[in-house]
Amino acid sequence: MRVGKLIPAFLLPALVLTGCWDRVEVNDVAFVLATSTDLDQGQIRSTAQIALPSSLGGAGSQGGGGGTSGSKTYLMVSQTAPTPYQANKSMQGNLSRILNFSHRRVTIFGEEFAKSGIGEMVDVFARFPQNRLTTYIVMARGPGYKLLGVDAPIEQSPSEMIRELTKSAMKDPVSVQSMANTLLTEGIDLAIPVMETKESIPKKVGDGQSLVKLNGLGVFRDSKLVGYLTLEQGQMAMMAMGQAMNPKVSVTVDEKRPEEGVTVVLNQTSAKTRPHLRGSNISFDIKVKARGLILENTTRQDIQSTMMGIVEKRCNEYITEGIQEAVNEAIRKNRSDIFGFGVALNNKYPNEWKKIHARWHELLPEVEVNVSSDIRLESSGEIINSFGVREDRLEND
Amino acid sequence: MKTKERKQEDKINRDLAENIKQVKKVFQDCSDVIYREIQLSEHIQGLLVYIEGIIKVEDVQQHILRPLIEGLAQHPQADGEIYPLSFTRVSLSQAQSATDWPAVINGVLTANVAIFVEGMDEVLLFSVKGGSRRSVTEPQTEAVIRGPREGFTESLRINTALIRFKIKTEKLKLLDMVIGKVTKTDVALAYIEGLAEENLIADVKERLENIDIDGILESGYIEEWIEDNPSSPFPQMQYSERPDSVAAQLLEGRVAIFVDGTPFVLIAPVTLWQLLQASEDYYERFFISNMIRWIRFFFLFLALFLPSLYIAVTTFHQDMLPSTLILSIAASREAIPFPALVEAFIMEISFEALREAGIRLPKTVGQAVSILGALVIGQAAVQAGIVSAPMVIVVSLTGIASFTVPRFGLAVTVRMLRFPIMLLASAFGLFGIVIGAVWIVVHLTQLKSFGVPYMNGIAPYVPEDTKDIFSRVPMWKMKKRPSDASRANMQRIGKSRPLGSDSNEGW
Repeated sequence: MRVGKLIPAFLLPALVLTGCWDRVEVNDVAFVLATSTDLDQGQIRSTAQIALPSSLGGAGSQGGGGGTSGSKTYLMVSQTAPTPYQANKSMQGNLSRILNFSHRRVTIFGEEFAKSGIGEMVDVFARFPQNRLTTYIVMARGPGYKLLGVDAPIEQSPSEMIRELTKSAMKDPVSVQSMANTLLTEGIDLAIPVMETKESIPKKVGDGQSLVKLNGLGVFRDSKLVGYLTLEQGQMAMMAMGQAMNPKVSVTVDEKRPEEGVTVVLNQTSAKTRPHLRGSNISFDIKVKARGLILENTTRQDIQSTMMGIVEKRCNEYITEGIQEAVNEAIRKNRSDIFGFGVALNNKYPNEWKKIHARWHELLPEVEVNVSSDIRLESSGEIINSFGVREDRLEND
Repeated sequence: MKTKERKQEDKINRDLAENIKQVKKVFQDCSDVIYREIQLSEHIQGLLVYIEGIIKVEDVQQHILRPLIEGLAQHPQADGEIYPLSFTRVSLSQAQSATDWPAVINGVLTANVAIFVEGMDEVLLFSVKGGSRRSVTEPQTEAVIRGPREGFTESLRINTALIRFKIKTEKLKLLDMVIGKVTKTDVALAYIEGLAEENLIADVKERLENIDIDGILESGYIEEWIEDNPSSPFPQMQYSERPDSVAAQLLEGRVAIFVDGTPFVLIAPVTLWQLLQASEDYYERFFISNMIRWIRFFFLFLALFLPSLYIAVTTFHQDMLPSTLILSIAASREAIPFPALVEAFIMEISFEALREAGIRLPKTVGQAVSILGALVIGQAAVQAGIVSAPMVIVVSLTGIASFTVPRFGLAVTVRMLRFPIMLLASAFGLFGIVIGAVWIVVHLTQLKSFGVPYMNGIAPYVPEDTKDIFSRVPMWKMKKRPSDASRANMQRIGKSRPLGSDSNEGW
């Protein structure tokens, strides 16, 4: 008799409640792959890239009946509103499917938006549960929606390309979570990878397709964008932050022949920042360690006999100079503490930090930064000396 | 036997002619009953009655007819001396006599030869069981790679003999019973004295004696009649057609119920874990057994929950899947006209139908049906856009998973239970699956099989028993019998083998 009671207990809710509540079939969901946030005439312009599953070429979808934009696998929707969420909400107004942000893997901040300050506007990225804290953040040089509109034929959608590039840019790419941490920590400023559009091949080669390209770092002070580091400076800054992913370094060995050089890839990079306080004089040591591997050698240098010592020395010089330059650009020109000097100081001299933290950004250009690098070349690759150069023409100095 | 007062006409008459008349009246229109009149001595006539087909004709000829006829020639004067006849002349081992008609008729029906003798109110009954029965062959339903290849047959005595071959102890007891008012089926309750609990034996015996039914044609009749909770979908007795399985269960202190006419022997009590153990688990080395057992547990979970998980995730929790996976599911579902639940139901039900059709049809046609079904369900349905490809994968995986459950009874239960869970999943998402799972677990913890908790070992937790639940420890580590059946005599291994290598280097 217990079964007699159980059967309606099972069937009744299923019959009465089918179609209620949160049930949404996959074909009624619009998956947002990427969004961009821009400032457009004083309003927030939010642009979403939505996947079109029908043109993704799944089995049974036979040529894609619902594709609206030709062969494209995505649909772009853009709206302006005073806040990002309101913009998203008005986007839903002209979509027949329910927007789902849980698969947004990358979000782009436009240049204007970043300059105007992101602090207040990023609230929705963490408040609304569909928005993942692991979403990567990228900056665009110019408006962010331009990045979303590239062809990117190598991936299913531009969002995927942007995401993969972001992953390759840093060891720990900037995500909503790490952005929030940085914004809320005193003594460190944001540095977000910058991307811009680029043709795959120059006009003279042929008709290319537009792609996305990494181009340095956007440097923030508090929550506002204040400047950029170039690709080279960005690479060096990331070395100093311990974030660089296998950076490649090209050095010249002989000053007389600047066109000849050695390219080295650096693995196992690590960096340490150590603050020093002498009186009221604040200085920092940045120590970079890495192991290297020669990728290319266009010189006549006899590596075998010098045991790569010269190349190693040149690399160290190059890295030291490069980091110094990046530091100068960031902390002196832009007064932005992207390396977290303030945090390092706070950790070691909390009393001193308490005194100066309010004026930190004014003091920052005055601090002294000493860079040292310890690079060890471990391998010359598959060959030792350049295999196109006869032995008797090798130079040995 | 019934002890009610017998009427006078139930008694055997001294007059042979009267008896012949009576027996022919009883077996009127029974064309398989044979009457053979013989001359026992010069003055005494007799009648042999037996049923053709169920007795061994050679035995009748060799050991009854021939000695009687030859004996007539040798002792023509033995008038009225009937007992020398039964004990000296007829060379058959099982003999008895009866004085009333019901006993005689029953004897004839259970493969005895009845001898009526002129002037005697007793009928001699000689058991000559015979007739053609299937011989011992490999079991069809429980195939193994490594293990004995013999299976039970339809004959009770062959079956009990197969157990005797394996367990050579006088402690192996077989209690005979006859159940079924019309079929009079022989049923034997087997147990090992000292291993099986007294209470259990008494309980099973009492339940068997309470069965009041016209016929027992399969052990399933008995199972349904004596199980603890008839409204539970879970099997509360195990059945097996493998003598080694039954012997192993007897050795663990359980009881077995043999039923004449079926190769399936019932085993009680049972736990859920027992239904997930295959006999091969103990024949392969324990590494292999453990791996296979874990796969089995994992696939049991899949068989129960996979379609519901698919429904729940695709209709409620799209956030849960990796982006690329949900996009490819979305792509393949784009053109599908049905909601995920309906899609799943169409596929699951047609899969069940396909399996049923495959079993029922003659072997030659069965092949065609499965090919056709695989083609229709797998290929055409996807190409026509009726069903999405991920759903086909889910349904086939579920189908495979349900075949990994070693006991068919449990596999059917799992297949059945996944439908209500699918409904729950479609109404409440993962929450519904949790409701379903909780309901099942609550039910399982309440369920008992002959007084033993169904999840014994885990609920209630018995540390000793976990050696053979989720893992199977090496044979020499299973020092005690499982606690569910034999509480009295737990020790199974006297002295364990020494650890380490046995190789004797430098011999």
